[in-house]
Amino acid sequence: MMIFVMGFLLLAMLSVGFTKKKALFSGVFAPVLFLFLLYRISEKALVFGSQGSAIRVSFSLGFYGLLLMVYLLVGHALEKITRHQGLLYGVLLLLLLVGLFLLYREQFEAFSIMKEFQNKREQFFASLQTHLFLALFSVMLGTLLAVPLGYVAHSKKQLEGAVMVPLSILETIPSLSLFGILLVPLSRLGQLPFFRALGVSGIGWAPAVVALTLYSLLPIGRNTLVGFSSVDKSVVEAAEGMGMSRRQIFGKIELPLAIPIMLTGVRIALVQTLGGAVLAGLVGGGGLGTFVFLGLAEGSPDLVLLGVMPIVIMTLLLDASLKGLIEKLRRNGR
Amino acid sequence: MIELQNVVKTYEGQEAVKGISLRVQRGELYVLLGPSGCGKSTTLRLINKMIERTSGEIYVEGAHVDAFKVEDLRKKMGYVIQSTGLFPHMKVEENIATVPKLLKWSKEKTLERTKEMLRLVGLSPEMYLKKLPRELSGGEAQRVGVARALAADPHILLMDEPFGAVDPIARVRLQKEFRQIQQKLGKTVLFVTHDVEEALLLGDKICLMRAGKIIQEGTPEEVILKPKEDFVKDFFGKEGALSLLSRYGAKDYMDKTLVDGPTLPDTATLKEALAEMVVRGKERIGLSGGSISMGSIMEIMRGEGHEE
Amino acid sequence: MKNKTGVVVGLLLMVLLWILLFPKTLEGFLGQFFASKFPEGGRTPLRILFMEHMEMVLISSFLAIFLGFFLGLFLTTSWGKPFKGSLMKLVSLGQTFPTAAILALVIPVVGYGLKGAIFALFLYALMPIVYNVVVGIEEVSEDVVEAAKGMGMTELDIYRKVKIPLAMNTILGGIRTSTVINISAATLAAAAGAGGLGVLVVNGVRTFDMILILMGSIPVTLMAILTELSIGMLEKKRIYTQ
Repeated sequence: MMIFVMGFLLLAMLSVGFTKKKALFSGVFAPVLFLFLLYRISEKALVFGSQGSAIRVSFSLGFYGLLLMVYLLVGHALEKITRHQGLLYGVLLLLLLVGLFLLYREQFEAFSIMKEFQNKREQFFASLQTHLFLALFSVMLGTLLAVPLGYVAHSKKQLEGAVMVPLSILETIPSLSLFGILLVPLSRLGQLPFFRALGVSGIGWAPAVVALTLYSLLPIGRNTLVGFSSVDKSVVEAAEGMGMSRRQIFGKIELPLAIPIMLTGVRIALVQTLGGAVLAGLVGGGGLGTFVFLGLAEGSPDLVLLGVMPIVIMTLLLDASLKGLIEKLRRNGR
Repeated sequence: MIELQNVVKTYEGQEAVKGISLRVQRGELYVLLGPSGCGKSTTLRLINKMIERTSGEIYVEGAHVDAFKVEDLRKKMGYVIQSTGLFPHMKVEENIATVPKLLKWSKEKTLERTKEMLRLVGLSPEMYLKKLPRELSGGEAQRVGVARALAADPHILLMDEPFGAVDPIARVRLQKEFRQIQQKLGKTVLFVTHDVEEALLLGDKICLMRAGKIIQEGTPEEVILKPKEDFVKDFFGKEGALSLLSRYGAKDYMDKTLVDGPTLPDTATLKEALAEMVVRGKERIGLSGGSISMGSIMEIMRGEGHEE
Repeated sequence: MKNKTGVVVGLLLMVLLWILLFPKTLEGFLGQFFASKFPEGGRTPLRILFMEHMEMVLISSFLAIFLGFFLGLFLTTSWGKPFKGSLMKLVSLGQTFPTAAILALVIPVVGYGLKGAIFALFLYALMPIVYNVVVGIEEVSEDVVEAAKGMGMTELDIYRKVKIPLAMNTILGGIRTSTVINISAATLAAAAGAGGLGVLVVNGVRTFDMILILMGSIPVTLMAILTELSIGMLEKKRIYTQ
């Protein structure tokens, strides 16, 4: 009940918070309110929970909706207030610390999602690790492969089609299919002694890494191509006229100018891969996907959330930090 | 035809237009001239309500602008802007036919009118009807823009630096041709520009603005030869008088004396005649059927200047 | 260039139809490379699975296109302005969710099987469309809109005659992306109890049967490529500015 009331309040604030002062106010007020609500619910839940270990207290849909509203409200507020952004960030950080503290003190123990977490604690962290590893490793491999490919496609016009078209086709293959297609060949490969030692087989990390790497080729390759193509020809001409060698032009002019666009491709690939790595759970590759599919099979949204939330958070963090990095590079290059 | 009474426009505490009153007569080409930011474009756009005025009254053809639905008001006036704003996804034909279609003219009438407008601005219908805007040069695009504005036969044209984005040679041609069209059709035109030459070439009346106020209003001769303030004098510069000379045809002021040497064409202006005199070192230049003397030119300027 | 793509589309279409009508040929062809683990027959015919797949995709995509289009338009108007910022953020956020996650979150709530899958797919397909509609309309040159306004067009006219036609390219791009992703995502829906060609793939993965996997994947990939190319052809026709 309270949730609906809160929900309406926040909704009202969302549509009303347009002047700078109001935005600041609602931006601060909303998360504080939310944390407070969370605290109150957890108190009640603890009472319930102490009555028996089989009792579960889950969040309703409205609660998640509320969380969403708070997120939007804060985002909106951050946009509107230009001078006091520091203040809002400060408040958010404080709330985060308080929340973590409460977490530590086991305030939220009674929530079903926490119960699941406790049950599968080790598995969770292992999966988290695997997931990150899968994603980062695949993108790294993808970058190593796609950047030269993209550059070749740029420097030799005739090869552009030959490179881009297969990559585009790769992209249209459904992820599940790609994983599946790799199963048999990889398991055959895994029978060779060298590869077996590495742990290559039809299931496990191998198909996941291969598939994810292949998927990341397109965004990185295409952005490399576009990045180099976007270098103004007159700039290159001026450099030639000054007597720079091919290598110098590449290193001092083309590369720095192309890097922001290339990094954007890496960013896109990373976001894509963090998400795609979920499917590794289906082929025994580990990662947070295991939770997702387990939750799907058992009909337990908490498990699914346990798998999805870290992914979303990681994606948002990586996305934002890479965007910031790229902006910085762009500005330095002017 | 168009009347503004003490019109004010304020943006967030800043007054962009500070109490402007002016009147444009029927058939007049009235130029709003001034440096960037003086409020001339703002004033123009207050008339067709692209911007809402803060206070003051505006009358168009005797009626108050608030008396109309805003779309109807705009359909009665042609609006030409610097970047033309031609619809890139429509052919020239469809662009020109926009307002007639909005007014629900018949297909035949619309097509006839479209062709007529193209001819009027000097573009052959056969060649240009089916072209897309991106296939046109700057000058051609502006002509289509004018044709589009005239299509529904409005009595009033509002033009905001329409020839600003065209190359200098095409620009002069456009200016001269437009002047002819305007005089032939008798349209009332409110024309915004920051280019002195353009203003002097085209304007029946010039209204010099600065910082949202009218500094001086009058015929080109009045504004140049009888400036009210230093600002006006400085704005037109010392060459202002020379630019004025381009408004007069040499033929209109010649006498019957014949001289040797090559003659100027009949379309020559007094300015061009003066230039020839300087170059050739002569005080008299021949035209067909007579000649023009430097003395006459100086008398004309003094004479015009003495007119009250 | 357009003709080349048209030819490719035609060819691929024919291949797809052939596979659907005569699946045994493909099976036989594949059987030369891989051992089959299932006896022939006793399996749902490819056609039926294809129909199920198409059903999921078509319904969810049509709904997404229709609703997404109007929602996007709404956000660009003055009434929609207050919501634009938040909804666009929401849409961007939603696009960071992996497909599997959306399916896994929505289906248990809405219900397993075809209905749940369609709803989940609809939600996921909605996002690129709303995004592209908003961006496309906002990219229309201000001068053109100014001229249209100055001529006396009503707001509705301006949308109908100027803004929407000029934004069409971007909007079609969004539709293309959304639908292609939808086709791929629908294969996953099989893991959640919906039908479709994903069933073959999922079963194939479970039993290490390459033929099953390929029998499921090839038609889906063909569908995706066909959609990508055909909508792409529509897009190419509509470039108005240099």
